[in-house]
Amino acid sequence: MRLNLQNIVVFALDQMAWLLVILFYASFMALKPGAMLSFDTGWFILYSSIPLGFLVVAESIPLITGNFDLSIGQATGLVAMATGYILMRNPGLNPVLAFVMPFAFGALCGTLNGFLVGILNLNPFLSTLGTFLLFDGLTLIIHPQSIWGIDLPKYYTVFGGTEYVAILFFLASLVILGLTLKYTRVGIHIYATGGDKESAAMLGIRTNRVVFLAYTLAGFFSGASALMYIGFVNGVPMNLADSSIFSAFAGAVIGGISITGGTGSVINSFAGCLVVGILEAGLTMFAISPELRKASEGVLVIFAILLDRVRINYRDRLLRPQQ
Amino acid sequence: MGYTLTQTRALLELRNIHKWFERVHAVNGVSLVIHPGEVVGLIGDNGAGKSTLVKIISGRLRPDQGEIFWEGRKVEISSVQDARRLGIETVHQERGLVDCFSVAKNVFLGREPKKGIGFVRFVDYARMREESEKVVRWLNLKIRPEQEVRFASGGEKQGVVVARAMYFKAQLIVLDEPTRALSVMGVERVLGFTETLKASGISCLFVTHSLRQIFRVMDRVVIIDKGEKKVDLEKARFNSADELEAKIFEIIRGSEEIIRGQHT
Repeated sequence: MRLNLQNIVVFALDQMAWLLVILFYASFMALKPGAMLSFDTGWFILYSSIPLGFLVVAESIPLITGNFDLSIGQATGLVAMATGYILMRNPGLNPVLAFVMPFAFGALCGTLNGFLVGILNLNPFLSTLGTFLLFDGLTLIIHPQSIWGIDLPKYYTVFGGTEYVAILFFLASLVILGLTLKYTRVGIHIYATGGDKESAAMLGIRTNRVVFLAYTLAGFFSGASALMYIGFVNGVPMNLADSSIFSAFAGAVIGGISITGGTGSVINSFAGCLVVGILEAGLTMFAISPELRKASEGVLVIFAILLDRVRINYRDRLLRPQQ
Repeated sequence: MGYTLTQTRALLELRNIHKWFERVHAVNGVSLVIHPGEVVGLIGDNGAGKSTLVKIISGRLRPDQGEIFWEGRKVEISSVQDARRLGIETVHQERGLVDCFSVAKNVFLGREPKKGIGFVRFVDYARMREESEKVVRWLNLKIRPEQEVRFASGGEKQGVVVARAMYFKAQLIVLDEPTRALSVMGVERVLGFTETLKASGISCLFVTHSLRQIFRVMDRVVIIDKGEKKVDLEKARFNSADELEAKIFEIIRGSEEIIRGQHT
């Protein structure tokens, strides 16, 4: 890539979600310098974004393949409840197994979606709506009450409950996933499936398997989110992550993941998640009511979609070769 | 049928191919030979059976009856991958490219080169860019390898697919109605690619509606009608397109529509 003004502008447009993070943070900083300037505030916003961050990442993968997953939040709730319940009943469980559990259960939830959408070619909306209800019901069947942190082994809540551990774990996962999507064949095939499924299939890419894998990964990261939530809230509330799907979508969209598939980056979708987190934190600092916070999140999503359209149009104009 | 075995060994030979869809006899006993470096024009009306034949050659359909030989060896082409392994690439109209991917990524899609040590191996973007730049330049395409394909014109898109086929050393390229929906410039481009391919010894099966259009580049014309091969003539025996057309009319009366009807 040559370093010229056009490439710099295109690069900036591609990283617009991060510019939004800075913009939002700076705006709140100007309004309330004392609070936002402190390192603790920034650090806490980052930390508190991590359980949702995993869900945004989880949602981004099926979105990139041109599908979507309504059930990830419910998968997280189910995984957290199943894991919490098993640990509550067997406090002496091997810790390695205890940590593997959420990922394995999550991936299992994902394989169900992957089987329905990828292998059986069912409609992603209806299939994941079905699994949404299924996971929601199963959560209550397993244990219809909240589990408190004191009923779980101490080491288990410490993982997601310690700020720097959670942040490092998340950032490492994000970097590994980002590199995998960009620099491995399977990653490129995930994008290709979303870009043009028929062409990808014609070139020998097994798009059914790619979609299956994308949902499995989404489930896997929902499991990671469950582990983080358990530490963050110190326990397993009955309604854990139960409406997080909307924020997960919002984060992905603000981060520039295209709903039609084929483009976007998981790292930027985390930036989208941070924008939501900063807005939430900033409005909380001004003692704005939860209803109004929710409404402004809605405005933010609409604003983000509009901004994304402007961004793409401008980017296209820059990149279109002059004839 | 109407051809004799020539001295050179056939690259692809179809013998007595039949294909039924329910009760429709889509391909009725077609035999066809393509020699190395030969450009064969396959002409037929919509529903004449030529697209079924193309699908059989490119591995997307299996014949109900008949045999296929590749370089004299009997083969089964049961998937697109099988066809590729033999060296058959198909260039489809408006398909086979991921629009939001760069030219380089499209050339290598599904066969990305990797580099690295042992278990840690990553897709080699630099190599994809360099190699695709070479083939693209060789085909005289004025597009950069990092440019997204959606910004390319119809003719250039076909060029990217041809570039891919060439890079992976295809021996037979099936151009499945490549000129439909192309501008005059675009058609000229595709004909140019065909000449380039021929010059480097690659065979082409050029599927089209119009004899005139491909007369310049073809060596032989095959006309399919109602699932049957009606005409198989070598261009070298004729002095002009008119003369060849006259001969074709002589063979099949009332076939004007097949040849003239759908000039694009």
